[in-house]
Amino acid sequence: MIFNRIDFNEDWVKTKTLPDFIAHEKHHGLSDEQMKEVFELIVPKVEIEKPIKNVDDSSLIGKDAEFEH
Amino acid sequence: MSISLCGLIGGNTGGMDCDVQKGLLQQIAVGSPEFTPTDFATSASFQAAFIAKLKLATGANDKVFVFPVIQGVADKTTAAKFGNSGYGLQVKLLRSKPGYEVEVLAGTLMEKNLVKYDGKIVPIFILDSSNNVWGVRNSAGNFKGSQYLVSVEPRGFGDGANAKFTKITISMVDSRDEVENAAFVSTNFASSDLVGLVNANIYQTAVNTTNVYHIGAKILTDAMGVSLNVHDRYAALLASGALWVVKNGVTPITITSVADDPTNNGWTITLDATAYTALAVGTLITFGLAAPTALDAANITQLESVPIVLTK
Repeated sequence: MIFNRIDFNEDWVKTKTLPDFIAHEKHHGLSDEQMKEVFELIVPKVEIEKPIKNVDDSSLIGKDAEFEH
Repeated sequence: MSISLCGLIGGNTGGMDCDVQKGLLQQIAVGSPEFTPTDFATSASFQAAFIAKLKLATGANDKVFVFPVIQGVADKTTAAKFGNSGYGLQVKLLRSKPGYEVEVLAGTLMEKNLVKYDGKIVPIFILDSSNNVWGVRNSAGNFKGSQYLVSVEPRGFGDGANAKFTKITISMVDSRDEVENAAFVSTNFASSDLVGLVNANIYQTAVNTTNVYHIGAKILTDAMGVSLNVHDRYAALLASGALWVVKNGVTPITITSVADDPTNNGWTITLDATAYTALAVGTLITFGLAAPTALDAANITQLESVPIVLTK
């Protein structure tokens, strides 16, 4: 991935943590924010979906559905 | 009826419309590839296969080197030798030996590389003025260059009276390649298609800081102190990890980043620190560009790097 005319080896970056990446590549003169931006472009955050809470619908058993008219 | 072997040893001599004759020598290409029927199934497939051989790295077994476009030719064929019987019957003793002296325009740098062929026997493909590439058909039905002994005479200084050129003499090793083994492939080559590679010498632009190296590439000339800096032309394109190769012997060392380094007219190449630290002091590390085919695909044409070896 090319950022500010620096080509970063994506496969290598994906094996590193952000602090390791910054420490290894800081000599290019990018700010920490820029380094973080590069890292997150290569290693996107994975959002974990929260489980849906169980809904107790036992009170609805045997009743017809109600529709609004 | 007399007993005759003519029916066995002869060949049909019926003419054919539009049969091809050899044209003027246009360009010489030296190399050992053997093109299969798949390669020369069509003109287009052969042209692609041939040009691919031009772009191979030096040292590749099948690499083809092209000489400059020919500006003149003198037939240096050694005439056949005949002897006479007592009654004057001419008996052929020796077949003629084809040879040609061609004139090319070559600057001093190119002459240095042309002279390397002086005295060598090499396979040669000849592009003629009809855009046919001539070589030989071997017993396997493949197409390859014909063996010639090469002589190269440099141009020297002008004398104000004669046009002077670098002269290359090619003398055919096996006369049968002129006729019996001769074969050609029709092409649509233009002279700009058959162009050789230029050496780009890799050098260290500044001292490295552990795993961070400062590397450049330049094309040397015979003018003292004058070289062409590849960075001037390909600064952005060569800021690419895919176009550099760093090795410890034959083992690649991971490049973590490549950056344009305008301060030093080169590039900053960062190696994986863990791998670098694991190398013993004194380890030889080779820096070079990717193969010419990879460079060509990245629109960096006509270059082949001469790697540099640095000591950790």
